[in-house]
Amino acid sequence: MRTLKFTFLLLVSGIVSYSAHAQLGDAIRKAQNNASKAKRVANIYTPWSAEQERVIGEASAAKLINIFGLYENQDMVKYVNLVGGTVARQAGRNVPYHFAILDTEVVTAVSLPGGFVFITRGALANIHSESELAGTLAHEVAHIDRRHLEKEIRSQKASQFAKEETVSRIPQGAELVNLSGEVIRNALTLQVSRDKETEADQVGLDFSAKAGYDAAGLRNFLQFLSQVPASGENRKQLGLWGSTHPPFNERVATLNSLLAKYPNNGQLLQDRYSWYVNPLNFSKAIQATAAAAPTRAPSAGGAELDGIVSGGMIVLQSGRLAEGTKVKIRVVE
Amino acid sequence: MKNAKTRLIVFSVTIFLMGTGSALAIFQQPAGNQQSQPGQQQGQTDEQKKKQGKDNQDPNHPPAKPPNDDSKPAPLFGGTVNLKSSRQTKDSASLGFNGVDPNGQVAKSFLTASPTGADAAKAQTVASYKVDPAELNKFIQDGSLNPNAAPQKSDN
Repeated sequence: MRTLKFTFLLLVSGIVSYSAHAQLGDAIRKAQNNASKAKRVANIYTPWSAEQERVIGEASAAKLINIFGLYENQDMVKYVNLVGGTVARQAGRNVPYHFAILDTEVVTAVSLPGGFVFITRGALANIHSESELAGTLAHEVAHIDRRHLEKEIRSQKASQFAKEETVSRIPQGAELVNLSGEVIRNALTLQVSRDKETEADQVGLDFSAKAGYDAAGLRNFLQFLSQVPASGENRKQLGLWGSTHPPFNERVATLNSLLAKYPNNGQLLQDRYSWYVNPLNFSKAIQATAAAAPTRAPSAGGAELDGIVSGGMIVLQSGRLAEGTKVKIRVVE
Repeated sequence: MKNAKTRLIVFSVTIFLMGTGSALAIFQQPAGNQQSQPGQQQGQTDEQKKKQGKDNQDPNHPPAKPPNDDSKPAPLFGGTVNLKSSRQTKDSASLGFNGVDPNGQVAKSFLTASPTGADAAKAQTVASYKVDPAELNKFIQDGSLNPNAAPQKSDN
């Protein structure tokens, strides 16, 4: 009888213990879930400080320049910075933007943390107006404004720096080299997630339209690129853009649907684009000649200057004439 | 006989309690798995996580479709327009496609190469380049663009 009582008590205590364990397990599991969720959110969305962004961006820019080289035509660099600066004024985040040209035929544009935006010589050769350039740069500014690449890096947690939460230290040495390698690998070989690309198209369109440009600039450029046949040279020029962005046609369709909301009164500025970005500026040989040539005094009467007609305007081979200078044109050929 | 009966009951209870213990251990297993989930998800994009949606809360259930399904590359080219090359002379021909293969992808050797001191100096030049605000204003005015900048927002 005593044994039966003991057994009964044992059974009751077993049931109570099971129930307590179940409840406790549930509570522990919930707590673990919440902690895990909070950790994931912190890892992805704790933004890099301005100084971290600057250091990482600059190291990544050096790596990008190492791959493609830097195109240093002063007039064109200034022009790209003026157009980029105009659209970047419409971005809300306080980032010091830097625009530069990569010395490659590849047609693409790349943004890096810290406000670094690169466009290639190949892209500039195939853009037809300032509004197209503004739309392209605005898309990259939008990536930086929304910290897209940074978020990708943090979510991948490939490096120790990216794994850490709320880091305040500045990466340096081997760690910075690894991190910049990670940034460039992401920028040049991986596709940023589709929703981030769509957001950059949408936000970029907004920046360029608010800046006063024709909102259809990026759409027009992408539409042109979508009509390019898949020949060997073209594939080489466009392969990089294709592998890091959604297909042109899809983006054109998305942009078309967004454009309905914007007035059709923005500036195209085709002539100004042709004035700054012209075949002469692309030629290394002519650039070298121009750099070596002494500056001609524009006011010297009878001075003969060489030039070429480009985009309906006369572009001088060397130097510029002051506004209002009277000229007489002699057509050579 | 009575002893045998008692032993049988004690044995049954012991078996029951052991079963309870095992059940509890199995019950707690998913929580352990979930803890290791972030590591396993290395390399996933935000979009993929969004696609998984509610499934994220139960890591034992895989997403309905492979995360990369949507990003399957569509044909890139299709038209008849030819791209312009910015190479105008023989002198700049060597600068054409450094670093890319015939498909336009950046070669691995270039991705892993370390930048030189000269590259770092050029990056610093890019970082220190500043447009004169007065010149920017004139540029905006000349192009009949919007002279008003957007208000600065707090960092996100």
